[in-house]
Amino acid sequence: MNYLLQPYNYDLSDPASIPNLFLDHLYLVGITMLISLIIALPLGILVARRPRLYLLVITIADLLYTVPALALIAILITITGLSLATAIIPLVIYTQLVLIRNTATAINGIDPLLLEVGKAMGMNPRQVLLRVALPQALPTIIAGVRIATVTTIGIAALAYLAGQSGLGDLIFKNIATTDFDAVVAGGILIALLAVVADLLLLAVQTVLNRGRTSVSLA
Amino acid sequence: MNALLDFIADPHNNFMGQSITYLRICAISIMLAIVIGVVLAVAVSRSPVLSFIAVNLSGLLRAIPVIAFLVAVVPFLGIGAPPATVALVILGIPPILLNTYTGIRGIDPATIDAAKGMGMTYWQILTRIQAPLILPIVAAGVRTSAVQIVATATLAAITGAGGYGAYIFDGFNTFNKTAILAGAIPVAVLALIIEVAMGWLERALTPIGIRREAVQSQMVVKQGEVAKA
Repeated sequence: MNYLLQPYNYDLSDPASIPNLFLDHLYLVGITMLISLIIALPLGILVARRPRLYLLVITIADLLYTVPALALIAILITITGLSLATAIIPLVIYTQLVLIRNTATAINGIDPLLLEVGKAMGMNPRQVLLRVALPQALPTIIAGVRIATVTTIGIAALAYLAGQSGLGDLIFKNIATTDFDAVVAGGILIALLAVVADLLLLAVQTVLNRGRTSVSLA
Repeated sequence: MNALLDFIADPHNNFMGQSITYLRICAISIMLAIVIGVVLAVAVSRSPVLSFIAVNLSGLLRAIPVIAFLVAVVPFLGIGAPPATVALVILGIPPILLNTYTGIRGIDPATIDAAKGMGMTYWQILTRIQAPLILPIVAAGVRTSAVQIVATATLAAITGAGGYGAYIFDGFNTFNKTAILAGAIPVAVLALIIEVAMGWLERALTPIGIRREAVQSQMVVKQGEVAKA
């Protein structure tokens, strides 16, 4: 715990200080989630209501998810070297299974009758999408985003191996010198970040749900 | 590719020895995780308070980065295989515990009543009704755990336990791509084999009558799969 209490570990001018590593970690997670959503949302909408395509896409995503993070980063290092891409690619791959599955489930779960009612009330397709479909699908999609974010926060520690800084630095840099205070500090900060992100997204999910019970898959 | 084969064949690298070390750590961890996970789940399933604690504690474990956990146990258990095994067992328990618990709670009481009504004895109910209904769900949990343990065991090299992770980390330190690949590829292949084989086992264990439903519930049951190395 000592490491977390030393004031000099919070010196903003030092790029390896806790606040800077924290921001670096958030940056990695932010970029990953942005790219992940850009890929997974259209893909999820595409495979919804197409069971064969869904099974194919999910099987591929599942197999990719199975490849251990350390092994994937190690293999990528031999291809893309020590770069941001090497850190981000595995993180993006690991979010896909949860995000695609939840998006497809969310779309499948919308009662077609509600869409009909929207049309019958004179809504145009845009209004049906924004006022009927999205509010229905969003809580389940956010449930997926929540799980994906927490997972990404944890795995992003391995970005250190690809030469990208983040809270993982505290862990990996200090293992060699057996400075367990710093290693444990890294672990605590990452776990804390994961728990806070989880609770924040849970709050978003609950607000979007307007008090209804949420169906969270994955 | 040739460099990789040379690396594996080189007796100096002791590829067989490292493979056996790796497989042994994984196998022991999975066995212990199954035994502890199932026993704990059965033990807590009757008490709402205990099961609430167990389920939420399992969920919380997912948030802790595996590597921090691994290093945190070193001061207590020293270096080598024991701390790695303990960390892997603890990480492997939650999916098995959650799934076994879900399986036990998920059995429709009416099904048990029907079996009693048909004159089945306690033993018959246990072996012919409960076990077949729970097994595929437990197998799904074991699958998640096993894949996770195989993936995480690479990090065990950090505590000096050896195995494929030793090649990966040595490779990182000496910029030796061949060593990195010699560690990474077997691990990736092993994880994929376990995933596919356990998926097959899971389907084989599912009673034919409920196969269609099982596909649906499997999506929910795989909740425990989130924690990753």
